[in-house]
Amino acid sequence: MEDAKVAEVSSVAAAAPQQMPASLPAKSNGLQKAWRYFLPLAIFFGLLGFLYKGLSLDPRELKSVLINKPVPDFTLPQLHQPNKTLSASEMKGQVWLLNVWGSWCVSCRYEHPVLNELAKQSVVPIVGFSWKDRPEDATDWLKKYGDPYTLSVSDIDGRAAINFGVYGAPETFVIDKAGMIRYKHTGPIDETALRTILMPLIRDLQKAS
Amino acid sequence: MFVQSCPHSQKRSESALGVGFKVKVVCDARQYWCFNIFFATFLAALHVALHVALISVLPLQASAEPSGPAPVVSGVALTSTTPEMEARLKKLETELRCQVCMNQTLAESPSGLAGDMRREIRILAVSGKTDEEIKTFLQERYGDFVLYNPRLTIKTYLLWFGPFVLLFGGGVLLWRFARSRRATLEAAAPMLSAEDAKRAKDLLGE
Repeated sequence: MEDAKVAEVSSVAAAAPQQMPASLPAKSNGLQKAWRYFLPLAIFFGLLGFLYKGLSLDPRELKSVLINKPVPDFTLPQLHQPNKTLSASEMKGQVWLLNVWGSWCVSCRYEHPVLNELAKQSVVPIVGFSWKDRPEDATDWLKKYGDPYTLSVSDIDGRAAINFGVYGAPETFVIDKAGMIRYKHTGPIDETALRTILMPLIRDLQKAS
Repeated sequence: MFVQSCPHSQKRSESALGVGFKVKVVCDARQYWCFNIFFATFLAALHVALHVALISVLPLQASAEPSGPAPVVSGVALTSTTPEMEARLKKLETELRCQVCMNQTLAESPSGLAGDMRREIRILAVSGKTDEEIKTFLQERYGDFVLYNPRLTIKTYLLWFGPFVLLFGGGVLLWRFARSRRATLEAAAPMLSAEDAKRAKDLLGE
């Protein structure tokens, strides 16, 4: 009796695959079944990951290709003494910042108090790069809002800025003792960026020989 | 196990309202595929819509673009060029991207920076640089993004060929899906015997 039952069960089991439509043999394969479920899920989560990352990316922020490259040499008239010039090579041997700005630039005004504060601490020389501006407008602006710059240069026609890959103001470059660009900050520097990114980097670079 | 125990066919069932409607068996693996594909498409559309909304709402970012004076560079004869040179410059300008407007070429962009870059291209071209050298000059300063057509390198293979791979892969999937679905439907379709077919004909009064 019991034997007959077992035989019946096994015959059903044996017959089962034949009951499946011929085109779906894959269904009987456990691995393939799992694949059918998890591949779409994996693709879905992959896509979700990309989309999520995309939410926090700013398409307007372009990474500078000049990082870890020598600072492009320039010789530009100084803003306050146009008969004198400043070259990038004269800054060699110290860590310095190059801040690209213009009196026409609204977010430069937003950034300016942070630079004034940094200048007060006199930890690092800041070179002002007056970009596509009338020298008199630039000097008036600095009189009005304070002058944090150790030295200022004037790139009136914007040709030197092209060598720096400047595409908007403000932009700030951190240059090390050997004259290599180590970092570029695009957009206004706020206190958080100064405290968490720029200051630690400047200190590290100043410690390095 | 779960899948195996279900018949792979479409069933006609009755809803609570007594209205018949076609439902696919819930455990059909392909329904899961469909759901995923549609949901992913929906998400992608939502993403695009959000982007468009954000771009139109947000003011033009923090960084600004000069509107100040741009005096003409002295010392370089920029105006006395040949028509050939002008045509060459025009073409070159359409192959380079304005870094401010981003979706415009240097030829189209009214921004001050685009003007500066056009002038730089002109200076380089007049001084005898080739198109390729000029592009490299800008690429070294502004990055790959300055080229309107990205160069074909290992890094950009995915960019150039990815869409075709996706299209092909999607086509293969669709083809396989359609084929297996047809097989399922054919397998599930009741085969009418000649006798039954005759009865059906008679009943329909044909």
